[in-house]
Amino acid sequence: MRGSVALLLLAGLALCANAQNAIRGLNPDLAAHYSGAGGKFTCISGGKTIPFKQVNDDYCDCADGSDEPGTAACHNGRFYCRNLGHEPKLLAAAFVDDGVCDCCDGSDEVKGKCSNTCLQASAAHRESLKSNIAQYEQALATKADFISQARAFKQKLQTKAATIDQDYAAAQAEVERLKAEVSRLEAEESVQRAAEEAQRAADQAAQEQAAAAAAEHQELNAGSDGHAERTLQEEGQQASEEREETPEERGRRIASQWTNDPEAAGVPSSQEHVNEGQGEGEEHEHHGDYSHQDQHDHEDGDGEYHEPRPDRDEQEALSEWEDFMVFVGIVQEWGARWWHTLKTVFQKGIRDEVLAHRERQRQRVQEASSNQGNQETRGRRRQRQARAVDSPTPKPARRQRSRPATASSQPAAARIADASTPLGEVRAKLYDAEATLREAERDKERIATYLYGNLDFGPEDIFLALADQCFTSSQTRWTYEACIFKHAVQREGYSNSVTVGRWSGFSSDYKTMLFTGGDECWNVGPRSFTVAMSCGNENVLSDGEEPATCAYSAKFTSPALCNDEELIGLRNQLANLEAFEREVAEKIAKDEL
Amino acid sequence: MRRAIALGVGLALLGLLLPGSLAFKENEFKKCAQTSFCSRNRNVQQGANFEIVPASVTLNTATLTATLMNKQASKHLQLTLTAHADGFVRLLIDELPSVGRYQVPSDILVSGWETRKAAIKEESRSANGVVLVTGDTKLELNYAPFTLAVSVKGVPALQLNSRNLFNFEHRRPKQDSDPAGYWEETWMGHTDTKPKGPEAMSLDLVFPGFSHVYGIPERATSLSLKATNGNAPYGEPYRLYNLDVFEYLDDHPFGLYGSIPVMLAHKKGLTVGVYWNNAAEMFVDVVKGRDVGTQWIAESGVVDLFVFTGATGPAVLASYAKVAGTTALPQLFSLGYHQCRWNYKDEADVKAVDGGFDAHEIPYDVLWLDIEHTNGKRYLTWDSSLFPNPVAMQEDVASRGRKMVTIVDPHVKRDSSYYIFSEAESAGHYVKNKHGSDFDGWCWPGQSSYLDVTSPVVRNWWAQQFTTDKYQGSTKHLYIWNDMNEPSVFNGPEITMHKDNLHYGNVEHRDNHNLFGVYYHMGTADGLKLRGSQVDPENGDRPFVLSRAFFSGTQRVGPIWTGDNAAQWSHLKVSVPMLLTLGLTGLPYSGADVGGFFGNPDAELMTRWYQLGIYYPFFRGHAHLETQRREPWLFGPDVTARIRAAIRGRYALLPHIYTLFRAANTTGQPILRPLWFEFPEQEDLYAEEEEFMVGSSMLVKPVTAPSTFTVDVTFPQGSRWYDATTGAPVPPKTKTQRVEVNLNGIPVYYRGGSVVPRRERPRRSTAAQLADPYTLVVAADDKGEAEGQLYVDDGRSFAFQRGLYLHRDFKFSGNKLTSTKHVEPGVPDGTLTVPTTIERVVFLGLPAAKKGYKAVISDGVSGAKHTVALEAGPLSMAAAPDSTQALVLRKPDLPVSHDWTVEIVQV
Repeated sequence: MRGSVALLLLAGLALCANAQNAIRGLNPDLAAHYSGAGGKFTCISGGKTIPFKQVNDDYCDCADGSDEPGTAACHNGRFYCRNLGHEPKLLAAAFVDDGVCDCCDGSDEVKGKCSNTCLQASAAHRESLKSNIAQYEQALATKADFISQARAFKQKLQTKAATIDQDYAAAQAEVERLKAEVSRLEAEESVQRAAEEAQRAADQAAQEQAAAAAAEHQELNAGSDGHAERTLQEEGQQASEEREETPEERGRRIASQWTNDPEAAGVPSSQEHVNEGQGEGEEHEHHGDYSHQDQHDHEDGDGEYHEPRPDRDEQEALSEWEDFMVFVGIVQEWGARWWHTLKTVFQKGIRDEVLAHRERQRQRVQEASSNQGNQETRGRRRQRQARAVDSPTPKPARRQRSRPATASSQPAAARIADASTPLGEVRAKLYDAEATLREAERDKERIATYLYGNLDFGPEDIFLALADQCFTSSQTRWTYEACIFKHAVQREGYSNSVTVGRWSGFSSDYKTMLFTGGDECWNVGPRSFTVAMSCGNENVLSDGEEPATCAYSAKFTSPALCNDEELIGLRNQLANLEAFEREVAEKIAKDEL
Repeated sequence: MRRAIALGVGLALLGLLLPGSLAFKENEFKKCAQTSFCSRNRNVQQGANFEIVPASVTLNTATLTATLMNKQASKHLQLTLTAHADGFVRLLIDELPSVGRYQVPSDILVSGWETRKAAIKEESRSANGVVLVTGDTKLELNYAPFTLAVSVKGVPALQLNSRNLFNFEHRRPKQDSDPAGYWEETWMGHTDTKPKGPEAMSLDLVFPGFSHVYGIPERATSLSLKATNGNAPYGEPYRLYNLDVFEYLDDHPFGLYGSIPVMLAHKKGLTVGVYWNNAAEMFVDVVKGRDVGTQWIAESGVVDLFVFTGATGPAVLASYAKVAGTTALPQLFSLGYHQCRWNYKDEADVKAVDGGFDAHEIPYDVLWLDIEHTNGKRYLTWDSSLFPNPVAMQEDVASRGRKMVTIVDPHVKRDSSYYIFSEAESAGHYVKNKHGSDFDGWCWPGQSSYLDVTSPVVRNWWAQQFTTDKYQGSTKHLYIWNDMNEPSVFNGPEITMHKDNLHYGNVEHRDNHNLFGVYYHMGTADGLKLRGSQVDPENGDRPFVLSRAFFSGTQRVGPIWTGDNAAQWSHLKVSVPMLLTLGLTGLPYSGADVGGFFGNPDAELMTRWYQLGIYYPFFRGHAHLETQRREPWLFGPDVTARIRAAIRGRYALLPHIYTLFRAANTTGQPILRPLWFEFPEQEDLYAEEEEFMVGSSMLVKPVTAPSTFTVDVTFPQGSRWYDATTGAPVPPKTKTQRVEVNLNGIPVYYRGGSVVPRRERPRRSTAAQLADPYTLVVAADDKGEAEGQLYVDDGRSFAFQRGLYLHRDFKFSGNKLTSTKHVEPGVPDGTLTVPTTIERVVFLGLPAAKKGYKAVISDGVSGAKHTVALEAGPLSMAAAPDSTQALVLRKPDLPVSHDWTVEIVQV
């Protein structure tokens, strides 16, 4: 078998030499110019005429490089590789006779330098075509599923829509009722607690009086020692308030001048990348949690369960003035940093920095809290998700794992824990009722968006199969997340995120998704995000980048983009290729005979 | 709305902060007034305390010795003055008896010069002085006060202590009455204990009758050094203390990553160079009046001053090179274009960028990987998730003739599971803190220790880490980049090491701080040399290691770059005086990051930077982690075409550039030269820094501002000039002429009298150019004459040291162009022959001939002759295909290895 391939190759070379007996590297489309009539050659553009013997004499005479199709003499020359058995190629003259095999037939280098790999290249091409076809067929099957999922989703919404107003009102009423109940029980409890407090205060006052008398006595005996001790203590306190940076803090601060990338700037060994380590993935998911919450914070109705959190009200209460003061704080904090950092702030927009600062504060709070109760809330959340309108397609498992398992869910857990008391019991009920209400709200939103929102879901509503889903593309430093029909964000590490656009629609050919009107960008205007879509086996967002300032882009593949015509095209290509291969083999065989 | 308010407020605050942000930067670093040894010596007149003891003056052939007394302190110093055959005198002053003050180790300089001495004759002696003569140089030593005056052929060259600013602080016991700062000093929370107390020195050096001094890199400032008694920031002395300066400013006296204590002064007929061979922190003041006065204050060490004199700059640099050595001949690939970025993130990225150059037909030679390629900043390892197959990756890049570079920094992550750390720890290879335990500082990997490369034992161990069996995932195609070797210590004083840290031989870091960088660089280069000797035992492989920190002698090791510049026009502009200064101080192989490291250059800045960068001796594009991608093809097709043309222009000029590197290698001459260096008699060029010469034959005027449509080019007098694109002669009108420019290029001119070898075929890399024929550009001067050279060798090994090289002299005179063998005194004869030919000779500036010219070509070997007509045509098919300014000899196929003659005859 191998022997026969080698034979074919040799035969191919021989064929090559026979057919191409005159001018090396000549593009057959231009052959008419190289007839050699009158012993002259006229440069294809420019009109200069030279003796024909100067064609391919390894000296550039024509400004357009046309006198040297087969040498490297002209800076702008083009060399034609015939690549028999594969596809022809026009090569830069610069790559001719440079010691590198660029053409699969090896014709760009001196004989013997390169082996002919055209048949292998062709075979590889054939195999990849075959595998493409197989994948395409599978993708088209998935596409059919998408269409039925989209239809089912729409139907479900329509069913819900009939009773949504009543369901919502009922849920609201239940919340109000339980709230009143909680208030009543709390009032009762506080009366009781006040009485207990009063008794405790009286007891304590009596104790303190006795202690003061004893201390006075002691100080008289001890002289000035007590004073000295107090002063030292005070100094110590002062020193710790104004304490200098630790060496590590200083190192980190200086490192952060160069980059905002925590990985680049000396990560602690517990967090850094370890090639074989197990811990790393967890760390990253943990980071992911923070950013995920950030999204919860700014964007409601993302189809995710929304847990109560202790700092939420405080967050929303931040006024514009406070935002400004936070910004001033950032500026002060960065006073010791350089102009570059400030410039970065302005390039990215001040708003981002304010948000990032808030996020950092929140993280500090979270880090201080324990992880107790996470398991339980996670379980509850899953239950609740199940009760909400099902997303049209199941979420990928990876995203499920990265649900926020946050300390903010603690209060809920605490309430549940003491459900034995009457107040605790009612609070737990209220908690559930509030969740039901939020789900009803979300259903309302879904109905408004997907039923009455006048959105374009493409042919056969295919893109409705992607509703309620977000896709992420993680680059070295930035993560891009696109939530179709909603918005797209870019995240930096795990602390900062910026909205790069809100849903604007598909292009008319459904080959592009557009998100526009994102967060303001210094000197540019609102951010925008353009996603080029193509057929693929799975829904995958990739290649997120910022090709121009604040104009972001990514690629998205999905079975939804696949169509029968392209499959037919691929099948035709394969058929043509196979026919071509047969033809070449036959030709070779005939020449052999 | 909220956003709008925040934005508005931000704008207002920005306005307030802008001027302040500059001040912040300065506050991070010490000024003279905040530095005890500087403030207690700057402008302090105590030189009159020092007197020569007359009876002690002894002259012994080439050496004068004398006792120098600090009469106030009754302290004796030993003064030694030696004349050397290589055109310099050396002045040594140390304590008497010796107290073991630090002296720069001899391996920082070359060997051999010490024994090549020149006789000193005593011309006259009086009660208060002695006059000595060596060659053309006269030395007048005055006893009380102690002064030394140097003159050459009666022209004053240098005066020592004429401003009464000399000082030499001797070692002393600690006393309660000692001023603050003698024994301890605190800066921003760091306390420097000074167990040896004060030991600074002040040198008072006046250049009489000079107006311009140059040198003492590295800093971003003018070529001709400004006075330091001016307005801020030029009220501060220039500082020589290798530091990692974040976002350095483009016009400031503070010192950057490297130090070379060399200063040149030039006036008509005389160039003077001084070198203080001292590696401690140093401040240098410059004052200007009828003379240029300078005061040099160093914290520790001894006075070891070299004074070089010559009629011109080249003579002085040749003389300095006899002491500090010449530029190591680089591998040819390293003179191609380098593509770098913090960071090319993984193997797919490397493949895409490498492929991008071929797809856009842009030549390049080296792809670089910054710190993110490592496993957690453990140098000499790979992040296996991003680079699972580093060997295959390098082999793939190398299959197209290219190389790769990885970064290796001197901080070693403190992690006992990291083999480099644990091996070095158990062998005791780290710098110690003042308590004698391994110093623990913070850098990219977090907690780090620093290899004590000042020890030859450590350097030897370090060198062994670079063999391909030791450096896992490396191949012979991989070269090295040393960054952060000032050393940078993020949590140290001024982002470097504590001065009371201890090195090999119990030397304080204070004494050898400025040597750390060159020693690390040296150890790494030794490693690649070792690897090369394994790969090719017969000829070896010349090391390529880029360094950021440097000192005198770095030129023998490898190139440096000017560190973390910014994507600003001002940084583009200041790169020229920065690189010219490095060339004038013996370190010509250097470059600035094209595009600017910090920030995002726009297409115009990018274009102009490439158009200038192709003349940088070291030519690399680089960018910060948080910048947009900026590979040459990302700015639209027009910009890609311009950058392509620029980079191809670099490759076309490589025969000339490589030949210039050979001159740097043999005689210490710079690649880029200030105009005064080539035109030493034209005083109005002494401060010119907006244009420069490439060797002696090309003049380059970079465009350094946006939206530029015309530039004023100064054409030095006495030479003809030809536009290097079209070949058109510059009309001999005024010295400065307004020239129109467009985005396609910057003004570049051939100097009449030059022959410049080129290779016009735009290949993908230097390796792919190897067999290509040459073009010679012959630009005639007023007498119709020209000369030039071509140096060729294998471009990679040390075989040239055995004579395996080809060096030709081209001379055009009396209408005859000849090629003869170039003979260089002191180097073995070239014996290499190559089959390469000259495919094209282009004559510029031949007088008009009615019927034109023909060329009669005689083969020097066979004596056979044949005749070819010369045609009016373009200087270059690529740059100006339609121009007819040149007379072109078509395809003479002259062998570069042999003698031949081409005679130009009117038809």
